Amino acid sequence: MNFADLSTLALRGLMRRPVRTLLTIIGIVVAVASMVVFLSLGEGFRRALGDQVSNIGPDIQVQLAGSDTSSVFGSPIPDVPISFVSKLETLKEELGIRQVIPYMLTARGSFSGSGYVILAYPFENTKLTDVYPNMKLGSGRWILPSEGNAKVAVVGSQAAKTAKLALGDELRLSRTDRYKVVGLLEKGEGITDSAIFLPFASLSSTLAVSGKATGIAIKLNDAADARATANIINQRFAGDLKAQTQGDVVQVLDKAIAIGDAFRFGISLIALIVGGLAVANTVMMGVYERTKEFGVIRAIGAKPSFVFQLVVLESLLMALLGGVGGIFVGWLGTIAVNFAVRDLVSVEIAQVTFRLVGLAVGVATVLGLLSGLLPARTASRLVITQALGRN
Amino acid sequence: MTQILEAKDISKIYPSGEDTVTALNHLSLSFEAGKITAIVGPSGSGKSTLLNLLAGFDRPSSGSVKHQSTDITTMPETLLATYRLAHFGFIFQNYNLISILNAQENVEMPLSLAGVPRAKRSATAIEILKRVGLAKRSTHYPNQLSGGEQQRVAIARALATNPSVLFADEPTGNLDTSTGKGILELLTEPMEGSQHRTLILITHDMEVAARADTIVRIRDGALEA
Ligand SMILES: Nc1ncnc2c1ncn2[C@@H]1O[C@H](COP(=O)(O)OP(=O)(O)O)[C@@H](O)[C@H]1O
Ligand SMILES: [Mg+2]
Repeated sequence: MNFADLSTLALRGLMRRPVRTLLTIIGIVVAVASMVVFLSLGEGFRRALGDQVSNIGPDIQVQLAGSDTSSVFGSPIPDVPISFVSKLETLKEELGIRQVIPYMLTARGSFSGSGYVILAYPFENTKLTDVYPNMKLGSGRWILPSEGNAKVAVVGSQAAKTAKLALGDELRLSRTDRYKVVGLLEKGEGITDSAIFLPFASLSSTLAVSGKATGIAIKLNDAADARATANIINQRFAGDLKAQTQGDVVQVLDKAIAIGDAFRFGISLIALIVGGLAVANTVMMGVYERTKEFGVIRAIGAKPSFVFQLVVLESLLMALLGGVGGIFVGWLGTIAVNFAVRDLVSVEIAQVTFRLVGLAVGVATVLGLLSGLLPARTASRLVITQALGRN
Repeated sequence: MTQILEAKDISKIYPSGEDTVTALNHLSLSFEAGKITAIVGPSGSGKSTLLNLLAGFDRPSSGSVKHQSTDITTMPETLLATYRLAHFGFIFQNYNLISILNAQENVEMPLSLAGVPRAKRSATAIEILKRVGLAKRSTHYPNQLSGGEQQRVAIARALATNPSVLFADEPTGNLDTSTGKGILELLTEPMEGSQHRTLILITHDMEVAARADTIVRIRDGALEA
């Protein structure tokens, strides 16, 4: 029997219980769609974070040894004594350091995008473009060297939207402390878009911390020395400071995304396993219901392998129909996700890539084959006389 | 007088709980080509068991079955299936049509298993359905056909591959007398060229048995003396 005939037979077999078949296929659709949506987020995150990290700026970031790097996303308590700034500055010549810049970072609102990040730098001797070379002013002005202690702010374009700030508005950070928006940044990629920049000393007093920074950014004369210089700093300040290069940060974030991917795939795997069991159950029920017919087909002269293929094909058809439906529904899902967060992030966070479609089809195929195996084995091993029953 | 099928000292023992049931007990029997053999005997005497072994649905506990000179009892399952497809046809008491296929598709089933191309097998099926008087019912599904009509389709299916031996286990058992007569006529109809097909059928009906060339009587799994 050729494949077309076999497929026709398998389809007819499925059409015999159309509602049951449809419900099973819907199960697969849901499982595959959830996988597509979950993993499409991974694809989008990867792209978005890649953009942001490359815009972070400093060649080396120094933190207190033992403090948690993942707190990049939280509101870390400033814990790096400012005294380290001058200690690092003494190595300027030796290590080819151009600038040592303490900064303070605090996040407002949730990480999901509705919030913004506050970054404070000592503007007395630092320009924002030292740290972020690509940054461009949209309107207003930069914070001046004389404003190291003033209550002024420069606001990223996304942060301006979320915090509803316009030029000349006041940002209220405490009951007494209001910061006047003196500059708005042009829309850009990365973290600076969602950030509000304040003078270091002003924020210190608002937050009532003194002599501490969240971290110290180091600009090098030659960025290519970052790794080696970070190693030397780690040696000299062993136990006190921990220096990381941009590459380290990218690695940490990459690891975080990979863990996220594994987590999301794990969740969709559960859905897929449940879907697979539903297919197996449906096909197995079909086999039991048609024991007699399989007996008849075998009696007429079908080989056991023919029955095996027929049952596997039924399972495969259901899984593939579900897979195709799932990809479509998943794609609609990503459109919905992107629409929902369109104001919060500058990139399309959910992306259905070719790679992902391929994966979904592959997963559906494997699912169909695996689910069909046991029922097919059962069906192909029927004893003809038993299957036919007794007249 | 050529011998086409031979059962040599076959026994069939079924497990039955802790016990066993001896359905066939050292039975030997041979069948001649082109002849009609009727197997008769009381219920539970082993008629169906015998037919199942002759047709290669099952294997004897001991002894052998030979078709022409081929021993089918030792054949691997895959080969045996192909052998049944090529040489044997079956008609069951309860028709056993495939419910998801219409009359013509049911008749085409063995042809399609044998790899006959679509056009050829459809022509063959239509031709045979005509012969059994169901040309107008070819697109009907089993549940749209009467018992007699279903059995005609079953006969058409059995004849589609032009088998050398036709087996029938109480083919008229579920049908009224006049319908049964029509079915029987179809089964015993000469092949093209007036040569008869070898037909081995089980029946309760002595009138049916009377039309056979040979009558085999079975009791308690053995030939009646
Ligand atoms: N699959 C089976 N398992 C156990 N016992 C069986 C099986 N098939 C038939 N038998 C037993 O074998 C004997 C012969 O059965 P069968 O060949 O169907 O008789 P008949 O067709 O003459 O009525 C009966 O006693 C029956 O109960
Ligand atoms: Mg019987």
